[in-house]
Amino acid sequence: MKRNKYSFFYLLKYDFLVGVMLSWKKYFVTACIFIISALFFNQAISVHFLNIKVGFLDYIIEIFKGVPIYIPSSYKTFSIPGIWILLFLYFFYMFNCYPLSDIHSYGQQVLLRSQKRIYWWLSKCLWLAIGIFIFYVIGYFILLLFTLGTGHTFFEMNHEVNAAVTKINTSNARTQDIFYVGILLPFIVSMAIAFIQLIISFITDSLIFGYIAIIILLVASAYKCHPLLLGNYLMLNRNNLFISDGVSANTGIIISIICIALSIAIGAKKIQHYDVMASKK
Amino acid sequence: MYIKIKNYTKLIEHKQILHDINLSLESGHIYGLKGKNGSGKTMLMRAICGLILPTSGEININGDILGTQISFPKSIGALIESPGFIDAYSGFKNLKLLAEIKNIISAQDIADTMLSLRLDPYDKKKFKKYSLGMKQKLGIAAAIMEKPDIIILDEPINALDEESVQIVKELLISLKNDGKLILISCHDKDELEFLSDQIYEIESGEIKNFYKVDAI
Repeated sequence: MKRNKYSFFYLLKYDFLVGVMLSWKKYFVTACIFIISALFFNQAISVHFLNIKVGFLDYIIEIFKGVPIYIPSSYKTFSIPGIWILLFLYFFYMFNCYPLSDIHSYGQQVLLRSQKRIYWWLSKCLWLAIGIFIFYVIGYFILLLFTLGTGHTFFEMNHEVNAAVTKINTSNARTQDIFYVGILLPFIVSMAIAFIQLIISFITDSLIFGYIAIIILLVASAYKCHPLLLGNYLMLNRNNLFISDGVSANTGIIISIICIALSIAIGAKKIQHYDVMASKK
Repeated sequence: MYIKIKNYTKLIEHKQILHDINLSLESGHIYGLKGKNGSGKTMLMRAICGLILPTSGEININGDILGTQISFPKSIGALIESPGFIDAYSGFKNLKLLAEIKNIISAQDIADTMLSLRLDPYDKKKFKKYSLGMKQKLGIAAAIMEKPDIIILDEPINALDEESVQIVKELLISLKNDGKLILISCHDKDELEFLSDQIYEIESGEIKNFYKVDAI
């Protein structure tokens, strides 16, 4: 038999099987977090309104609302948004472990057969992108189910609810704006942060360092509104669509694409000199 | 097929793991590595696999320099330390997933390799339910199923019962007779000397001594 010309695609298949399909429990938890978030939202709405309908985009706004810009003062304490931080701490935990644990275990056998170190790295990059895509698809599917339950038009916003419960004035926002800042922006930015985490873990050869760096980034983003603190783009409360001194979605997407490209390039260089050792305990 | 290791030194975090290793290995032989835990046997095996790269020196495999001209030897099978497989898959499914990457063997070849090690390819038992001995044999099967020219086995008879040890020994001798270049390490001095044509003694990352077994 001839050597397989498509070994890269089999590597990708392997990563999809091991890193996604066999990790279904992690995606199950994702669904649970989105369900909890939607239930909290429904509960909060019921305090203000009776029999009011909310749509898919209202759920999106609620989940990614984050917190308003923090201005330090003696009477205002700094707080981190609960569901938002839970969602993203879990998100980055979920995408932290697999590549490094793979290369120190079963992945060694895969690596030897792949013949090229770069294939292993590129396959892991694609795994990350696909995994993040599935994460959001599951989340949005849950929110669509909740929308079905309320009987509201999918892509119509309820400005009254957003003003009273989410505390974001959406009356001037168009549906496509919310798609851009509430769906595309979190997808790209969270992927960029996940790539940064992956590259830190890979360079330091430690899962802990990558994760701690990302926790610091998220907390720093909640504390300070700055375009380089990427966590700000994951909070609609910090977006200039809703507040004048907020961050721009376009800037966020450009920075994220640069971060993703740099991470892929650094990883490609690193894998060429990486010593594959025994399993990490 | 030959492997020539020239002045190979490996430092990890300023600590000398392998020092000035010079070796010449040829196909049709079994070479044994002897040494205490932490002496550098496994690291030398990783180096030959291309999993670790030299601080200085080189490994030449049939004319290709490892790490510069090739990332990994073109035809190699290895079992290094405890075999890691996917817990949720059966032994056969694990091997099939690995074999698909190179796609040079058929499902029947995989089944035949498993049978040669007295593993049942039709057993649906998941890897996590395997005994230590079965896991070890599956690791050996993964290393030899694609009939590679170079076979590297780190402690292959660990956790095996007497009958399995005999099977593995016969298999290794038959592979040697087929012209394979085999490198093994083993804690059991008698078994290592029984299997090997030549033995290298490693201590603190250096080859301190080597001898031909039939010369004893």
